[in-house]
Amino acid sequence: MNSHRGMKKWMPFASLPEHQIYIDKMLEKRRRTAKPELSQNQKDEINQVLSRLNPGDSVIVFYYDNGHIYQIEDLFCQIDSNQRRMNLKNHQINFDDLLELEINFSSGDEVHRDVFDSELHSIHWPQQ
Amino acid sequence: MIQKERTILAIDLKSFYASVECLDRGLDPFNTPLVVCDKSRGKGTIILAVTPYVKTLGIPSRLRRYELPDVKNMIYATPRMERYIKKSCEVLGIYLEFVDKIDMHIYSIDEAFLDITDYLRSAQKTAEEFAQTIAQRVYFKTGLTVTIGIGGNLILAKLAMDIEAKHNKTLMAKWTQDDLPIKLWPISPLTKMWGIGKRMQEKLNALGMYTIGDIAISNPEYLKEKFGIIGLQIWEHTNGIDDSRIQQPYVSQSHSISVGQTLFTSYDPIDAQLIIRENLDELIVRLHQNKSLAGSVGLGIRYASGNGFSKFMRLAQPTDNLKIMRMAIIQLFERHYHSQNGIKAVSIWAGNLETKKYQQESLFTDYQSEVLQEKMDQAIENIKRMYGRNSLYRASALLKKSNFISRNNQIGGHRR
Repeated sequence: MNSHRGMKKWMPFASLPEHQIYIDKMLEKRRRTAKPELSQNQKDEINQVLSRLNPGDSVIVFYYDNGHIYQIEDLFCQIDSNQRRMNLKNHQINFDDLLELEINFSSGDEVHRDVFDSELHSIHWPQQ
Repeated sequence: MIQKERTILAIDLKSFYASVECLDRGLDPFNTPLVVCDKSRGKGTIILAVTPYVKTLGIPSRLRRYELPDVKNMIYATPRMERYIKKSCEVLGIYLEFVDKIDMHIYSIDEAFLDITDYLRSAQKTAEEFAQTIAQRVYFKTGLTVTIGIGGNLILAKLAMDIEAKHNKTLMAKWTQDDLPIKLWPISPLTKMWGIGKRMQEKLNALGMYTIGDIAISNPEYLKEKFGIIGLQIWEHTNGIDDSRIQQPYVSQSHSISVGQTLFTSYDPIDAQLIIRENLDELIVRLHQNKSLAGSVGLGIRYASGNGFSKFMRLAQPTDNLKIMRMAIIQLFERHYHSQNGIKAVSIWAGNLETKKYQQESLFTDYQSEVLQEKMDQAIENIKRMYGRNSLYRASALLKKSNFISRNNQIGGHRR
């Protein structure tokens, strides 16, 4: 025979809602990481990839934002050198936040380009 | 059932509030006469905490101010709940240097359980050494002293802490099942053990059980028959049996959020509705923080005479809309309030909570005005977040009978 109540019996009985708010804040803070420093080598690598990119290329980007590191897959549109950032179809990423950049060859390059071509008209290209 | 033995630490911050007040004043809690209480609330006010020094004078840790004997140079520290909450989080952060958050269970502002089973081998430490390291780290970083109970499950750790560690010189104790007949079973009255309240004690006494051992050697089937699952649980605990695992947290099924307050004087129905409205504002902020919608609302009223009512109403559609919820609660009030009695306590709650994402569309909802309302609520909350919680409030908060502003400066009924 067993009561099988599990952690139910250890539920806090007189907890303050404000406590939970601060606990969540503390946990969020702990999840944050410092921005990784890139070596000159890594920077050169990113630079190289950047210069090889064509509009419509599928790219995988690792970038840093506000304590977190994100990985995204998106289509490359253009480089905005004035603002020092790259514009993707759904994201804008500052050069300073770039951690890793690669062209995503595995995603069926051609297919992506087809889809992309039909949308090219809707993208406002700056005068070069 | 064969249960795999764990190594659990139950950690308690010694005289937490009072210790924080001492440390912030640069004083040593172990030889400072200090109590935490809001002196401005008069003689009957509760004393929230006393320093270990005050305890050595034989003064209990919870008492009313008029019960406190004269102590030379006594310091009365006004409670600062927000400060204690922040300090508590700082300590929890230190625990997380040692274990992952999945192995930590927060039991109260000053109590937590850690499952250190999987860390001992890589740390190459015994449970006592591991606990010692945590204690030293907390002391080094915050100046706070901790009490630690060690056991093969949560109840053993908790009992070791409550019953032995607190009175130990080392402030640490490790218990196994074998310790129970000597250290736990002779204990009386029963309320000294965690999990047994005054009422349960009376019922158990009526069955002829006066020491913990009386319960432990009784028939669990009998206790279950008498008190249901709780009876069985008490028997298990007196025998050191507890199969709960920190890694399997309990998620409450029918979650609800409530806001309530006890009034200092008795209110008439019109003023009580003012209080209801203010509580509702707070309830809605909580709903938003929770990203939940209320499927039902409830209202509880206690009259000065002691009786009252507690009723709830299902809403046609889960909502966090102020107007809809207010209408429902006012309806509850008007339907059930039939008394000339003054009102002494009010509480409202939101039940049958749903996550906001999965809201079902309805033909009967006026979405446009709901969106507008939502935007306004959001704007109000943003202003409060940016400029402080007293930056924006209903004009009714300035009415004499309103408790809004004083409540805003409180947490859990004590000074923020």
